[in-house]
Amino acid sequence: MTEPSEENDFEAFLKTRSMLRSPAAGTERLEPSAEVDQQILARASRAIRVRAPVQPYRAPRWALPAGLAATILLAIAIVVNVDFRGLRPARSVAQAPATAAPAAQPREPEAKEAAPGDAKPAAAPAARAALPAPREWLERIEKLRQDGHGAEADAELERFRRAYPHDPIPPEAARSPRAPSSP
Amino acid sequence: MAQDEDDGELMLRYARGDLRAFETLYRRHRGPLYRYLARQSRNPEIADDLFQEVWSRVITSRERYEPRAQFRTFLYRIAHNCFIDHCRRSNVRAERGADWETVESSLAAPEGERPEVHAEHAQTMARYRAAVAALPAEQRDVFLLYEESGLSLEEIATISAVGPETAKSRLRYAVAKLKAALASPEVIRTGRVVTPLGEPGS
Repeated sequence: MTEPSEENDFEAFLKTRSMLRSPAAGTERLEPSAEVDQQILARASRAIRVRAPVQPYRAPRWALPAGLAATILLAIAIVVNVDFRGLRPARSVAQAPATAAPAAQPREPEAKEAAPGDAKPAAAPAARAALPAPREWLERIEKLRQDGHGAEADAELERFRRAYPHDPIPPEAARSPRAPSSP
Repeated sequence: MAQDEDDGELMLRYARGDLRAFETLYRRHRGPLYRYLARQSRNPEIADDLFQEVWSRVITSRERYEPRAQFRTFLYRIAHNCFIDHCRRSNVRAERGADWETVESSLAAPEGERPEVHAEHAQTMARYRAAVAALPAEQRDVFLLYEESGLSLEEIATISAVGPETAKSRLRYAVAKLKAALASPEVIRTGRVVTPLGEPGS
């Protein structure tokens, strides 16, 4: 238990925040020197005068090689994509599924043999673009036959087969119309 | 008027680049803070170093400062931590062993005071300081914080990382010991205070 006098002393200290009530309390004039004051105020002044310089944005070290690699990859992708699109019809010709025209399968080597000089017939998209559309071409061949130009129709048919080896050929275009029966 | 301004507002103004706000803040707290550090360290040179370190930390943390608590709590928490760091760095427990000879030289007789009266006051002060120095570190810390900083016991408890009751208990023991020491010079010489509380030291 604390004694009442101690409790009183403690309460008095809590109020006055001082143990010394005599004038001796005033003799303790501990304080920083003027030099220390100057140093601290100078430091405070420097701190707000010399603000941290705003660093200009600097890309990380890996940014340049990564950017170059990305550019190269993009360029390759574009080139491959363009080429691939150009080749797509040729590939469809070269790798046409057998289900599309089973009857036309045997014609493939025939077509290759028929155009030995044409080393890359399907690989020339520009040349293919110049050819007429299959249906249009076949109609023209039929017209030639109907008009009695059989040899010309045969030549056109041969060209057609080389160009479109898997396209079915209607009978009207495939063979010469029979000569009109003699009365 | 700047004198009436809140410490937290002054700190925020300083963070925005107002040096005058810092000067006001500094003038307001320099004395008590220095006394706290000087009486803790009992060495003027160390007190100077710690004092500068505390203000340096205040300066560098100006942009992070948020006036959640009182500026005074913020300031004395830094001071408390600086002193603890100093003790760790120099491997000092600093329970006893004052270096008051150098501090004595900083005490000058006020003008007009008779030499014998000044000598008597100086003697009382010396006894008082010796008694404070003889306190266990935890009690001395709470006592000096309370006497010098003007903080409440709750705030001191926060700074010391103890409960308010523990802080109050430490302060009570410290006051009882100092009272006994001031009444009996023998207590200071031996460094032992036998109080009716019979407390263990913290």
